[in-house]
Amino acid sequence: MNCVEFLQTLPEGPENHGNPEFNHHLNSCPACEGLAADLDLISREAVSLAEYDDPPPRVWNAIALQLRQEGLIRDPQQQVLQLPAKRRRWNPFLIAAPLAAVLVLAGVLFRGDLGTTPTRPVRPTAAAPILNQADQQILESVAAQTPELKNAYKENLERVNVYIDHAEVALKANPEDQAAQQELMDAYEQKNMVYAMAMDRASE
Amino acid sequence: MTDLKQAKINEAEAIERAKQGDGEAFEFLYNLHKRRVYSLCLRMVSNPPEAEDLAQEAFLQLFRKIGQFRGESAFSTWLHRMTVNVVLMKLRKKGLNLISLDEPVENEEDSQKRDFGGEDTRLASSIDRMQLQSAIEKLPPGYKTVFVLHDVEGFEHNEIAGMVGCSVGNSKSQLHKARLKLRELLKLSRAEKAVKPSGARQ
Repeated sequence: MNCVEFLQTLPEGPENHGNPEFNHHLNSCPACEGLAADLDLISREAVSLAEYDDPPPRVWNAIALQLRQEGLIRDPQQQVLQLPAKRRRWNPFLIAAPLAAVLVLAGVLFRGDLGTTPTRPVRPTAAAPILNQADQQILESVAAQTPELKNAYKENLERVNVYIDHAEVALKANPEDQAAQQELMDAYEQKNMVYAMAMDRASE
Repeated sequence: MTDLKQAKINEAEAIERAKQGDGEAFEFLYNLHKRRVYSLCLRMVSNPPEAEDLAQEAFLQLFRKIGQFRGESAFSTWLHRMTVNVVLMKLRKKGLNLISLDEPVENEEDSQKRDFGGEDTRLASSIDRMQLQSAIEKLPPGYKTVFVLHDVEGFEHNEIAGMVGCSVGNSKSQLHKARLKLRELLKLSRAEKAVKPSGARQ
């Protein structure tokens, strides 16, 4: 085996070790032996690069947020509430439960500040949602703990506020519409969920 | 997390609980695999924010399909293949060739020729990690992909061939060329290091 043939077989890697011609050339040609040794050294040193870095916490936060939005993470409470829509009969008081949960969560976090603030101000248009004071306060709490997540939560709260707006408008237009009633309940449940996540984040 | 930590739950239980929508189980699985997945992405793209996005996408894809996991293969293998596929998809979208048979090989051949009969052409007995990392980042995408998957991550050529969409022979060839290119880059770096101090004094 000459140098050219040696170089042609080199890519086969460890399979070459059983080839007597390859080994003979390796032991008799300093240049080829040097090349093979260098490539082997590079390969061995590369293994040391397999040390693992931790991703920043925002990666999990973003994943969890997305999983919740897609309904892949289901809270036990939500699993109970996710009964087939047909079985759930409309009762205006049913909205009170998720709405109350939102208020209580905010209240616990802000030590009663909510008592002086309206939970949802009148928004000029549904297309340009604004956040109410409770929303703003919970965002500040999130920002104090994980500033990089503030925008994600802000977007989610704005989105859920638009959702609530649309659901309210639809229900006002047709108070007996079961789908509209369901929509409004779902909208409040979503806001409840965003608040719960934000509180978890703020208390970390 | 506390429930799962206290219960010393294993991966299989966490998978079953995640299938039921248990948030803690998802977090447990994420924590179990996050470092390897993120590091793999980081080495492939050499850009932390991009690696974060890719790791996030890989986990999301995995969790969306977790209901389909039947345990025939190791969960980690499934996840790592998915991660590699997410990264490769991203590289393809960027228009980068994953198999670069047309990479200029003249340098490789030239450097090999120059080596014969030359003096002090060998690398030192060890390589500085930073230098190696820096050299890997300079590799053409096709070489880099195969090198990282094989030499750093420990995938076999047949696995790489399956993920990248090439033959086993092609994977071996890419790996060999990647190592040759790295050798050249490391020698260049060593030469630059040797010249710099005198250049700085001028």
